[in-house]
Amino acid sequence: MIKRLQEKVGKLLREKKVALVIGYEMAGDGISTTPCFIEREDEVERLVWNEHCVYNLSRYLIETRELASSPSPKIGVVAKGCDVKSIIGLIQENQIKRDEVVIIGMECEGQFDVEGERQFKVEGLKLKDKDKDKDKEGKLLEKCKACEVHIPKVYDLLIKDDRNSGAPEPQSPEVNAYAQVEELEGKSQEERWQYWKKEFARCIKCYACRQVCPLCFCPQCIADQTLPQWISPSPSLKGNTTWNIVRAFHLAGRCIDCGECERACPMKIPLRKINKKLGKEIKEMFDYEAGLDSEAKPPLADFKLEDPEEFIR
Amino acid sequence: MTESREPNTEQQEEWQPKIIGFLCKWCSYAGADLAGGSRIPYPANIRIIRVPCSGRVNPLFVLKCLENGADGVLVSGCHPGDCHYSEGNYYARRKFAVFKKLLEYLGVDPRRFQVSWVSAAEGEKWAEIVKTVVEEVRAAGPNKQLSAPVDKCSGAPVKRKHLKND
Amino acid sequence: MRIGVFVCHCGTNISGTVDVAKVAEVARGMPRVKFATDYRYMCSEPGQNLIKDAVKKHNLDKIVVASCSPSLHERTFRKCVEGAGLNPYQMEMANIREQCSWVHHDKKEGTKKAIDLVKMAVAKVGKDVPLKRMRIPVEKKVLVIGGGIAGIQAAIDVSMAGFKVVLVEREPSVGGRMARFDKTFPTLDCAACILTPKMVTVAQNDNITLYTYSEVEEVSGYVGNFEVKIRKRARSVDMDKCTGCGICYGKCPTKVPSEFDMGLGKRKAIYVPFPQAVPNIPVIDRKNCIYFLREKCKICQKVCPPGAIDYEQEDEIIKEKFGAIIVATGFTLFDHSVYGEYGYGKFKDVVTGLHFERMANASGPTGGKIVRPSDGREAKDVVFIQCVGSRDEQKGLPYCSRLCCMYTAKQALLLKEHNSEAQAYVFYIDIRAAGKNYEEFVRRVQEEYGAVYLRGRVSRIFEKDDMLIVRGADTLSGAQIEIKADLVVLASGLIAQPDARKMAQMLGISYDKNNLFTEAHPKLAPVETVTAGIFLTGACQSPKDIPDTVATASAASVKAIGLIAPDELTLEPLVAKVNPDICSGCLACLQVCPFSAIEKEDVKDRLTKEMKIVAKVIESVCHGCGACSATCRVGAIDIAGFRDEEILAEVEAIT
Repeated sequence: MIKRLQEKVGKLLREKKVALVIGYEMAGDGISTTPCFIEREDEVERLVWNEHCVYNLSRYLIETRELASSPSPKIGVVAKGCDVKSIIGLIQENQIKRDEVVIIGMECEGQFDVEGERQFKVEGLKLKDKDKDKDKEGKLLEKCKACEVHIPKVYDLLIKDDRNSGAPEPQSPEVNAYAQVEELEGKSQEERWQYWKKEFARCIKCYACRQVCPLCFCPQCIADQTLPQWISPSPSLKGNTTWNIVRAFHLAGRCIDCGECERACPMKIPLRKINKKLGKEIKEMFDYEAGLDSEAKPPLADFKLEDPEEFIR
Repeated sequence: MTESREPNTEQQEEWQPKIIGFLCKWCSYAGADLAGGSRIPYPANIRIIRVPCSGRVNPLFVLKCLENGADGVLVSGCHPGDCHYSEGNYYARRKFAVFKKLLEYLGVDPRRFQVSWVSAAEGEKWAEIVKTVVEEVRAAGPNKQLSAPVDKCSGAPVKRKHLKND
Repeated sequence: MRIGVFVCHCGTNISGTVDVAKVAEVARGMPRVKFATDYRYMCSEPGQNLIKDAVKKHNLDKIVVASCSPSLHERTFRKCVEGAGLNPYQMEMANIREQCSWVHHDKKEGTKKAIDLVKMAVAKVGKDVPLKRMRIPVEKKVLVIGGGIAGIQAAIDVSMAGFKVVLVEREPSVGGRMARFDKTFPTLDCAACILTPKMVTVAQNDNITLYTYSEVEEVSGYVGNFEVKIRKRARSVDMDKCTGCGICYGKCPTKVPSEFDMGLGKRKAIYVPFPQAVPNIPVIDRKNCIYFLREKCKICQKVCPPGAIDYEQEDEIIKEKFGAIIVATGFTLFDHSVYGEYGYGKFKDVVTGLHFERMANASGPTGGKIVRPSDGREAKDVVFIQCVGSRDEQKGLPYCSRLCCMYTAKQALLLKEHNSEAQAYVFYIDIRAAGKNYEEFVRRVQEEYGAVYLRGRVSRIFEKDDMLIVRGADTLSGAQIEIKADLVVLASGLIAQPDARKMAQMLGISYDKNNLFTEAHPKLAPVETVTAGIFLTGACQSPKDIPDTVATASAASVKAIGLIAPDELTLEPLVAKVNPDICSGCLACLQVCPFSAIEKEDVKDRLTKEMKIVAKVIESVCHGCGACSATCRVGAIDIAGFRDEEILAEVEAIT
C-alpha cells in the first residue's frame, strides 16, 4: 500500500497536478506517525501508511492554501474515510474549493490507539510482541470500532488495502456508535452534572481541541475576543464550562467525529462524548449527518416547518 | 471546584429567583406590553431584554446569563408562521432545540432555560408563562451550576462589579 | 460619556407602584450617569423640554428615558434627543410601565425592578454608537388587495392623488359583498346604485390597473420597494376581444348554483357573476365546463361573435414593484351549522342575512320576492335571529360583529316593503345601534313597520308540517314563545376570510386569535400594520359597516400616499453589519437571511493580504432581524441597535 501511495504521489508531483501533498511520515519514536508535507518527487519515500495514521490532515488544507498557487493550484491530501468528511465540511463552508484539492483516499481498517503503543515502547517492549499479545479489536480507537467509511465516500485517487484486493469492502462490526452517549443519558441529571463538572474542572483552556479541529477555522475564535468577552480568560471552572459548551455547540451539525479534539486534549476530557451526543440529536431531530454532502445546508442554518418543538411552551 | 456561595451579596434577604427574558419586539415583547395594558399581574422576578427577533438570540447569550448568575433564562418569540421576518423563529427553534439538548446532557437543570411562543395578543399567556417559569426556577433553587463566581486559584469570590467599573 | 436618566411618573400610572424619586436617586449613582431626574409626564412638551434643557445644561451625550414601552414612545424620545442635538440612536428606554408598574403591585418590588430596568438601559446606552438613517428610493405605485368597497374606495382615492394603483380581486368581478346587498341602512340607498359608479371608475381610471380573477401569490421586498407576484388566472376569454354581449352564457348548456346568489339561483359554466359586473367579461369555470371535463361542446366558442373564447389560455404571472400595499381582503360569514338549536344548517328555510339580501334584490334570483328556498312560496312570517355566532365564546366568536343589529332591522323593514302582509319577528340580545341615525332607524322599523322585537334567545327550531317552529324566550315578559315561521333569517357574524392567516404570513403582518389583521395601534395607528408600508382597510381588520369601511379606505389611502409621495424614503439604520476582518466566509448568515440581504464578497485580508470570501450586507434590504448574527460563530456580523456588546451589557448590568 505504501509503495502504491508513494508512486501515485510521485506521479502527481511529477506531472505538476499538485503543488504539495500532505501525508504521514514515521515519527521519531519509531511507532507513531507525524504529518509531513511533500513538495518534491524525491521526497515521496518519506510517506508511510500504517495503523498509526490517526491524525486528520484536512486541517492543514486551510493553512497551506497560500502554497497552492505554484506550480499547481492544487494540494493533495492523504485522507481516511473519516477525514474526507471534514474535507466535505470545509468545502461546504467555503474554506476550500473542491477543485483545489486532490483527495488521496486510503482504504482504512481502523487506527490504533497511539497512546497505548507509546507506553509499550517506553516499557521497552517491541511492537511485534504487542501484536502477538493483543487482538486487533482491542487496540482500535473507539471511533474506528463503529466505522462506516473504511473506503472514503469521495476521493480522486483511491489506495486500496493490498490484503483486501478483490475482497469485498470490510464490514463494520455490529457496534453501537452511541453506546457511551447512551450510558450517560441513562444517568440522572445530577449525576451527569457531577460527571461533567469533574471533567471540565480539569480543562486548562489550552485550546488544543480547537487548534486541532479541522472545522475550527474562524479567523479569530470568540474565545480570543475581548469586546465582548464571551469566555473568561481566567482559569476558573466558570470559564471552562462555558468554553466547553461553546466549543460543542459551535460544532453542532458540523462535527464529523474524527476525534482529534479528544486525542489532542492533554487533560483527556472526553470531548467526543459531547460531540457525538449532538450528532445523534441532530440526526434524530433533523435527519442530518455532517460530512456527507458539500452542497447541503448546515442544519443550524436551515429549518423545516415541522421541526420538533415539544420543548417550547 | 468550590461550590459557589450565594451569588448575590444581599444574603440576608430571602432568595428570589432572577430570570432574564429575551423577547422578540414584535410578538412576545408586545404580548408582555399587553399584559401590562390589561393589568394582568405576574411575579417581578423577570428582567426583559428586547431583541428584534427570537432568531437574534445567540444561545451564547443564554449561557452568559447563567454564567453570570441568572437563575433562569426565558427566550420568547412569535408562534411559528407569525415571525415578522417570516423565518427567524424557525432558526431559533432549531438552535434552541440543540442547545437545550446539550445543556441537559451536561446535567444543567432544564428548568433554567426555557423557550416559549407568545404572540402580541397573548398577554394572559405571557403572565402565565412568567408565573410558571418563576415557580419552576424557584423550585430548582439558586443557580450553582454554571454560575460559579469563585476563582479557582484564589478561592475568593470574584468581585465582578469592581472589574466592570472602568 | 455623560448619561442622563429621565424617570417618568406617567401621572400615577408609574408612580403609583414605583418610587420614581428613588429610581432617579439610585440612577444618579450609576456609572457614567451625570444627571437623573423624575417628572410627571416625560412625553409631554414640558417633559421633552426638560430633557432638552438638561442635555444643554449638563452636557449630556446619551439619554435613558424610564417610562412606557418603546413601542409607544421610542420614536417620540428619539426625536426629542435629536432635537437636543444628539444622535437619536443614543437613547434607550426602560419600560417601567407596561412591564413593571402595571403588572407588579408591591411598591418595593416594583421600585427594585424599575431600578434594574434603568440599570440595564444605562448599560446598553453606554455601549450604543451613533447611527445614521438610510435613504432609499421609493416606488410610486400602490397595490390594493381586494376589490370590495374597501379596495375600490382605496384605489380611487390613491388614483385621485395622481398615483398609479394596481387593484387585485380574486373573483371575476369587483364589487365584493356590497354588490350582493339590496339596500343599505339607514338611508335605504340601493347598494348597486351607489356602488356601480365606483366600480366603473376603477375600470376606467387611467391610474388604476385592474386585475380580476387574480391573486397575489408572493410578496417580498420592503417598504417603498415591495416586489409582488400576481397570478392572473386563465379566464378562458380574451379580454381584449370580448365585447360583453353575453351570447356565450346565454347559450351555455351547463347550469350550476351561483355563488353570487348564495346558491339560490343558477349560473352557467361561462358566466359573469352579476349583470353589473366590472369588467363585464365572462369567465369559464373550468371545473364545470363540459369542454374542460370531456373535451366536447365548445358552444360558447361557436357563438362568440368576436371569437374571444380561448380554451388554451394559461395563468399569467405578473411581477410588479410597489411602494405601499393596502390590504382590503374583507370578511366571510360565520357558519351557523355548529348550532343544533338552529338545525345544524340542515333546514332549507333557515337562511343567512346574505341570502335574504339576494332575495330582496330586484335583480336577484327571486326577482325581489322573499320566498322560502324549500318550495318557493312567498314568506309571510319571518323570524330574524341576531347574534348568530357573535358574542358566543363557547361555540362562536368572542366579539360583537357590529353590523348585524342594523342589517337585521333593515331586512325587517325590507320584508314589509316587499310584502305588506308579512310580519317580522326579531330575537335579539341587545340592540347596538351606535351610528349616525342608526337608533332612529331601528325605532322606525319597530314603530312604523311593526317588526316585533323579542329580547331573548331561540332555544330550538324544528320543522312541523311544512312550517318552521321557532321556540324561544322573551326575557322581558318572561314568556315562552313559539312562532310558526315561513322563513328564519340568521344574522350571522362576520369572520376573517378562511385564508386570512396565509395572507398575513405572506405579507408579514400580524393577526389576532380570530385571524383578523392587527393594526399597529388600536387608537393611534388604526390603519397601519407593524410592517412598514402595509395598510389595512375594511372588515379584514374587524367587522365594519359600509361607512366605516369607506372611511378606513380613505385613511389607508392617505397613509399610502404619504409614504410614496416623497422621492426618497428614510430607513431605520438598525441593520446588520459585517466585520470582514474576522468573518470566516462560511456564509451560514447568507443561508439564514430571510430577505436575501447578504451576499458573498471577495476581499483582500488585511493581515495576510490574501483574497478571501466574506459576507456582505445589502443594507437597504436588511430588516435587522438578527438571524445572521445569532448564527455567526465568530461574531463577525452584528445588528446595529442590538449588538452583542449592547445585549451582554444589559445582562451584566443585572447579574
